Amino acid sequence: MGLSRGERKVLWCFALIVAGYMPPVLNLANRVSPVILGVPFILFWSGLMVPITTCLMTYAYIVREKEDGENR
Amino acid sequence: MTISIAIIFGWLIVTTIVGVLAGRNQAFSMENYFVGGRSFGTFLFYTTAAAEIYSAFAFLGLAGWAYSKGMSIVYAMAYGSIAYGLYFFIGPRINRLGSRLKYISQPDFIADRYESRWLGVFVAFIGVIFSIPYLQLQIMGAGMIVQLASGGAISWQIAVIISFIAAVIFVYVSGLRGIGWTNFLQAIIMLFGMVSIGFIFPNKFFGGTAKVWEILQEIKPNHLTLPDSAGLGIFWVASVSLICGLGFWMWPHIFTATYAAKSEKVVRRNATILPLYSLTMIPIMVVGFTCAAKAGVDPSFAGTITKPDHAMLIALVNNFPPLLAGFIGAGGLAASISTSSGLILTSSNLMARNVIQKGFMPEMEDMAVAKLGRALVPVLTVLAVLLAIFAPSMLVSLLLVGYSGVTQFFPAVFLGLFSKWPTKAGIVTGLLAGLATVVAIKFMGVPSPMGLHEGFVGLIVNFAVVMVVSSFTPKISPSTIDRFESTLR
Repeated sequence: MGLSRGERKVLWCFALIVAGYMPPVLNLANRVSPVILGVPFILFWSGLMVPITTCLMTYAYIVREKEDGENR
Repeated sequence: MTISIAIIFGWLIVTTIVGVLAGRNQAFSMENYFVGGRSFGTFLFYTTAAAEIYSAFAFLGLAGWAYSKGMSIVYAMAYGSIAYGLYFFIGPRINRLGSRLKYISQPDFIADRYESRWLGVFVAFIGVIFSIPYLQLQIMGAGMIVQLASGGAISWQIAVIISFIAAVIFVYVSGLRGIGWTNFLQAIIMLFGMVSIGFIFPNKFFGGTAKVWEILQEIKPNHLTLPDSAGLGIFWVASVSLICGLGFWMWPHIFTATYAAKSEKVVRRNATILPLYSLTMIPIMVVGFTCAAKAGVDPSFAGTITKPDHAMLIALVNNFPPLLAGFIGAGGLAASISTSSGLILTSSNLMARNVIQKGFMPEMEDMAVAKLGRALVPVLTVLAVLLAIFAPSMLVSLLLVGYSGVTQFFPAVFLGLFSKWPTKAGIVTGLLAGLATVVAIKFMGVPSPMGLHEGFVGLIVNFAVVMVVSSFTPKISPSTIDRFESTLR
């Protein structure tokens, strides 16, 4: 029932996503300028974390698919 | 206003027809009715999940929050990312256990994993208790959206009754498959509505977003950073994001949707692409900020906003053509109905299968349970509509602790999927301790350490109690552990 090798790798992806919204990072992003894509920086940062999440999860998907292939 | 009313109700009729037709070739069974025959592919599962997740709050609350409180609204983006990251771990395991061990609901898993029928009944009961106020909130949101988008031509009570007759029809006839196909349509119009107004509003009022930020920095300097105008700071955003992210999949209707995916691959693909839907929230937030800037420079505009949650729709109706108000109203109604229909179906499922059958009538046949669940669909909807119309504030207290409450299921679910050591006694006492902590902080004036969210504190207490109590209470039998291990291998 524990984590597989692939899941342990994926855990790091999840940790990175969580870290992006924790106080030390939010503290750095907590500003209005520069205004990027028409929105204040903190809103841009929150929005940027969304595609970053998708990229990390895509990597996770590849890792798990590869692991499934090896187990077959 | 005739145009906007025609668009809103035309859309409602189309979705009802699609929802009814979706179930026409489907044999009636518990699995088909409650979990769509476990047959949803990537696309249908995506739109189902997206439409269920983004509720009336996405249309009314996001803009209202940005308008009145400020930048702490970024928590809504943050918790989405955390929730989808978590889903990549728990989703595939939930789906595999569901399909192999024939689970239909969240308490099925918890009762089986911890060898306790009564724990399942308790979790189902708590799930319904927290789902009803959430349903009531959606109903009231739907009514408000139609009332505002029609410029007051339709009262919110009438709008609620018409909307929920439509929802009951397709949920009753087609179950989750009906919800799935209507959610596909709902997701399209929500997407259209949410994205388009984000561009239209700032352009109409200020010629673009740059002026919005300039004005807000001048008249409300705290509005665009943390802590914002409401005093909500970085620790608040971080702890709420974490608690909502972890609790997100614990809502019974969202958890159960995972059983509808036809394979683990579908779940994993969705964990990858679902986050992108939350980008549509940014335009709504921009609309809220635009309204705040407009209200700051134009007192007559500010005077029209009676409640923060109504800001976007009031501004829309007063300043834009009725055609646009109709589409946005239809989008808001779609968001509310898609979430409500999932809540109605899941609450009926929990009551029929986990409270009545598992708790009191174990000899009841599955087909009878499915029929009972279907009969409960209109009953629970009427109950929630009546509460919304006649006692709108009665369930507010429950709603306030709803998210914190369902998040207390997290240790039972997470440890149940990944660990052998938690015991039944540990999980039960942890759950009770977590719920008690939430109630003590929220309603009894017990101070929360470091201003952390009460659900977060409850979760820490919950985990600690599970660990301590599990260390000296009887373990789960090896046969159950072996069964789960072999299923998850």
